Amino acid sequence: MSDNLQHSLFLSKNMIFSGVDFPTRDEILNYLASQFVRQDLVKESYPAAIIEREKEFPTALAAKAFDIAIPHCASANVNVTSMAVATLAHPVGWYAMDDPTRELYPHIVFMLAIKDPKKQLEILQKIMSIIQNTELLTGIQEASSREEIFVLLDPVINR
Amino acid sequence: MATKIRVLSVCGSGVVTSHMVANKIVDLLEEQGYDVDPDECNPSELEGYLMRGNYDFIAYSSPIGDHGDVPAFSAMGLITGMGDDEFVEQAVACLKAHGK
Repeated sequence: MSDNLQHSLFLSKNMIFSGVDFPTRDEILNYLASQFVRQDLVKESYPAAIIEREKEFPTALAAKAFDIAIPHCASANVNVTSMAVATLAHPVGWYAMDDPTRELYPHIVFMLAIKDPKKQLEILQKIMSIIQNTELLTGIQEASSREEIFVLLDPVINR
Repeated sequence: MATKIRVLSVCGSGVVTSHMVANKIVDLLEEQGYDVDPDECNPSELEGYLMRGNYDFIAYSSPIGDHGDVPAFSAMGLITGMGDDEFVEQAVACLKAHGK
């Protein structure tokens, strides 16, 4: 029952990671994707699918605030529509969505697990509004704990 | 009456980013008097979609290959929100040039 309660939120507090510190993009992707597996939000295939998809179609973009990344993969790997947020202690090179030869340095990673994109337009619109909100992105980047980040994002994403 | 147009939104997965983009195009062009019927695909599906559908333009957030004579515009400005006006100008100019 408590599991269901937890999973009813698109972004739960335990899927927020402040100051994630790995030397490479793939390690960051694997770490975050594994958290979804631990919570049973995705299938075992999800981490590999995320890493492969990133190689073929990268997901970093230059938002107005600073660079961010929105890794995601095919919905077949997803159990529950959900999201993870990570601020990075040391931004690493990450290729741009619109130009896989251009390296960006995301400060925040929003990893998405979307089960049925056609039915989840509202969530996609919320993510787009976050990408475009410089004040919010700056607040997330400057936050020092998952609690602080949750307080910023909960009203935007979960309501 | 709104002019009906068809738009193909292309992204890496063909579902997530392209769906965000398609929805935004529907809203932005509705304000300009267009009734947008959007489709979404990934770059490897592009050729098949272009063969089957008659699109007024393509909006892409991942690089695309050959798209024949269908006009194509980058959708990155729509995702970041920094290029909404520019995108609408480009799209409307293109549609008007084709008599729509």
